[in-house]
Amino acid sequence: MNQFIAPALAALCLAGCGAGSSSLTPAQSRALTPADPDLAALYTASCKACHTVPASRAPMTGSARAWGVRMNKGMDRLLENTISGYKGMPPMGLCSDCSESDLRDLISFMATPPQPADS
Amino acid sequence: MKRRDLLTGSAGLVLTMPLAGCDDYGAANMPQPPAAVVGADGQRRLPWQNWSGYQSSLPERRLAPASEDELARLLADSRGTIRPVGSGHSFTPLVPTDDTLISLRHFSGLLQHDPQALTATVGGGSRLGSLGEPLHAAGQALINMPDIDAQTLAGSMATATHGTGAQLGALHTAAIALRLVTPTGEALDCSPSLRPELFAAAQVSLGALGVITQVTLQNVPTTRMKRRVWVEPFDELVERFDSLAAAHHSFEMYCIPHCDHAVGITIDPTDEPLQPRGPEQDNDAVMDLKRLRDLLAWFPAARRWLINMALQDYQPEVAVDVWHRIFPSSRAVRFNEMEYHLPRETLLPTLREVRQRLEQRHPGVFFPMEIRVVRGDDAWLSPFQGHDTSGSIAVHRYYEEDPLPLFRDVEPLYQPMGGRPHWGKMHSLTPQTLADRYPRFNDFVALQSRLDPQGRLLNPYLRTLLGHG
Ligand SMILES: Cc1cc2nc3c(=O)[nH]c(=O)nc-3n(C[C@H](O)[C@H](O)[C@H](O)COP(=O)(O)OP(=O)(O)OC[C@H]3O[C@@H](n4cnc5c(N)ncnc54)[C@H](O)[C@@H]3O)c2cc1C
Repeated sequence: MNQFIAPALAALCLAGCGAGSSSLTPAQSRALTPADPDLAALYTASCKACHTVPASRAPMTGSARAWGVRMNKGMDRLLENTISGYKGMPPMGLCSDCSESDLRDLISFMATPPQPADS
Repeated sequence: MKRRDLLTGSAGLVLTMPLAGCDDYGAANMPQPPAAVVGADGQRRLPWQNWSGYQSSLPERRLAPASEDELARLLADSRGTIRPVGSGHSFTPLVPTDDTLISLRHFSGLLQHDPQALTATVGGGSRLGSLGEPLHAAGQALINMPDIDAQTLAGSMATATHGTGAQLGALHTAAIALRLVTPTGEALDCSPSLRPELFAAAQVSLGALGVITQVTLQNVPTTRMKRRVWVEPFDELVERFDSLAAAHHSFEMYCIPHCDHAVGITIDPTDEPLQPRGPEQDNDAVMDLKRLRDLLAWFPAARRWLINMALQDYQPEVAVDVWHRIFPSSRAVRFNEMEYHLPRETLLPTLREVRQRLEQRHPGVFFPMEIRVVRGDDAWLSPFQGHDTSGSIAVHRYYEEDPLPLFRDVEPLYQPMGGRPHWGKMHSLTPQTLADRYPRFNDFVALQSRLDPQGRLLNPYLRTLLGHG
């Protein structure tokens, strides 16, 4: 819904404009995949659809800037936010069968910037 | 003075006033998820919650079977309640169970397609968004899409998920065959010619008849679509609603509460050059509406004036792209929702009543209402069953605020015309009322009892909804 009002209400942009910009392009973010095939399957099914698309406002996979702030809060805090949902992030992302360790691994993968050779 | 400065300045002025921002809009009434507990394996048992966080449970097992055999064994052997889950985007408690949740993520993707017939067989657990590229590459397009593309196909069909368009049916109407693994572990193929009654029941089946592992879709040729968005006075757009709905492939209207304008969106096939959709700004905009609400809910005239002013400069927005990049949007501001489907001729008069009630009695609401049209069909539990075209009205409430006062107040307005609720969105209808509104409701319940004599797929909500007490 409300896909219309944003341009219409751009004049109302009282705060928050420009949030979430990143030096990593969406294409570079999309190209990243976990090396472990099981984790890659979970990532592709559950995280990638939002974490490589700026419009979703989710921190982009591989973006040191976006993840740095979050990782500073500590993995436990990030994990709790992932489990319970946080702002636009729905509880557990889109993964209904992820374990706690899967979630930790997924967060670590998304927070890791690409190695220079890969980027 | 620029419009933005004007608005920012007004907001600043209001900030100095004492009345703003005291109401938590029922946040204290919101249900809380169960706390995680540590299981026998030393791992935490994590709560499951739906997208909005309103529904939750603490499943003992969360499984993702890798094959149909494994799924069949699981269904036949499992103890307790077992519920299939898609993307968890339903607002009603169709999914929650403290026993077993089954994810269909291994039943995903384009399995085969027929270029001549434009049919495609896809895994039931496929997210709609993951089907866009492969279908387009195969020269095909889905007949239509809902507002977002995060849902799974089987999960969408289970609740009769739809987009908008007088000639466009809901997603389940594109299914020409499906494969259902029943609660006793039997895999049944069905289509309009093979087990036709099962097919008509399974097309929209609330995850109560079994688990859908694959679906064959009748698609249409892939095409570019042109999307146009504009703002118009509410009364004028309502006046033109019927002609716009008749003239365009897809048409919908959004009605911003506490404002005199509404927004029209049309989507039509085109050969025009690519002009991709710009960066999504909806989420910022809805949060701006929230900020205005926080500041000015107590001063409706000022709020209305400010929103009206902000919309005056609006330039129509046009985008051209491949179908799967035109239909869905991003929803990063969570909410709870009630949507009713109505006989088409009652849509606009009812919309006026709903808008009036919402504005008069619910100043806290800032999410726009969404008004759509959907072609009728014959699936037993389709809310569009027996209609030539249906009309739909959806109201929303921010996910941290109690949605029930609004929903309880608006829901009675849909009853005189026999409104049927979206199965995935909040409502309070009883099995008796549902049986009155759906000619095949009792047949569905009888079939469900035959396929699942022990009620293994029934959680408490489904048990009540289907009249099992
Ligand atoms: C942001 C947002 C936007 C939305 N937009 C629209 C819209 O534009 N139009 C619209 O009509 N609705 C819309 N909805 C509602 C949504 O499309 C439905 O609730 C849909 O059912 C969700 O699909 P899901 O994959 O998340 O399924 P879930 O919510 O996880 O499950 C829904 C039902 O499907 C069953 N199920 C799941 N998988 C299977 C399977 N393989 N076999 C059998 N049963 C199964 C579940 O048991 C449950 O009963 C929206 C919801 C949200 C949160």
